[in-house]
Amino acid sequence: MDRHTTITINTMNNTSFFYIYAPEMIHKLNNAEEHVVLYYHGPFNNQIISEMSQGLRHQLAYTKQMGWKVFSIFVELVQNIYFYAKEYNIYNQNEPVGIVFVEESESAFEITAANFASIEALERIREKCEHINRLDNTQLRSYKNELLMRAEEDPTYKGGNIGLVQIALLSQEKIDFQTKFQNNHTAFFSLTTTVKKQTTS
Amino acid sequence: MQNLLIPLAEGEFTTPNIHFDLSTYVFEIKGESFLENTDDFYTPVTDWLQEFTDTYSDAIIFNFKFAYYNSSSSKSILKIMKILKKYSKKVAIEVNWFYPTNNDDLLQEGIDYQDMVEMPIKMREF
Repeated sequence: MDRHTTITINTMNNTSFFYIYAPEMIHKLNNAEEHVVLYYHGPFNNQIISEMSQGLRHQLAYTKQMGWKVFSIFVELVQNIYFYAKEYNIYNQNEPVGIVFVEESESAFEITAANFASIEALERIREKCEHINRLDNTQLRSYKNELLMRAEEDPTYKGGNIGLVQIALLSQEKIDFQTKFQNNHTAFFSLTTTVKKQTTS
Repeated sequence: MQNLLIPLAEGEFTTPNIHFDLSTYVFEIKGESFLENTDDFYTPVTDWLQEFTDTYSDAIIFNFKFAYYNSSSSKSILKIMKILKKYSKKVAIEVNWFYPTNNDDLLQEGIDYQDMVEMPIKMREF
């Protein structure tokens, strides 16, 4: 089986091709019940993020509000890769490496981001996700507002949680946290959430 | 003081259109705010607004008309809201939060800001 694949992103102005090596996702790419909207595994820089974001929005334009949600979640997940990735482009150490994956099934969109992170960061993210997953919608909103107020008042506070809370609020679903390949220093982890089709206009 | 006019920019990152017009006293932020470093863009905006509210005592209309912003921009929007809240204690102002039709998420964001700063904000579809 050819484990390389080319993902085409059509935007309003041009077409971009991403050539990827993705052995871990081949079974998903070949699954006829799930349509891959976007898959990217590689370094992130502003241009790539912008290109993917525009392509994603263009592809999901027909879904209106749902597409807006998927795009918004995608942006927050990519920012999470920027915050935590411990793997970098060997040609440019400023570019973190990660995976983003958006797939569509009959009933939902699923958005995943994955990257290597330090064990310390991983545990912080795990705790954040567990905390967020325990909250109902009203509690999530209060928590987000509280974090936002703190971030606005304290310039040193980065407000790293706000993006994750925003993801939970937008999706109305739990954030699925998974880890793989863990050793004493680093681990590969993924965050996945879902936007169900029947819940939005 | 001079008007603060920043055109909408759509490049690697998208920044909103800023139109703070001293001839009409209608101030508007419109478009999308999709930024990596929000402080670079918003600091001149909040500095301008802070100077205005410190020196003027004129009624204003302030329109937020976002089609999208990322969570990094939320902090800067809250900062603007807080400056407006302070100004509203000495001058009658109108603050409008425009949200795209059917976008309940952005409507709720407006309601959240209203709750956080405890200032009346009119929610309007566009």
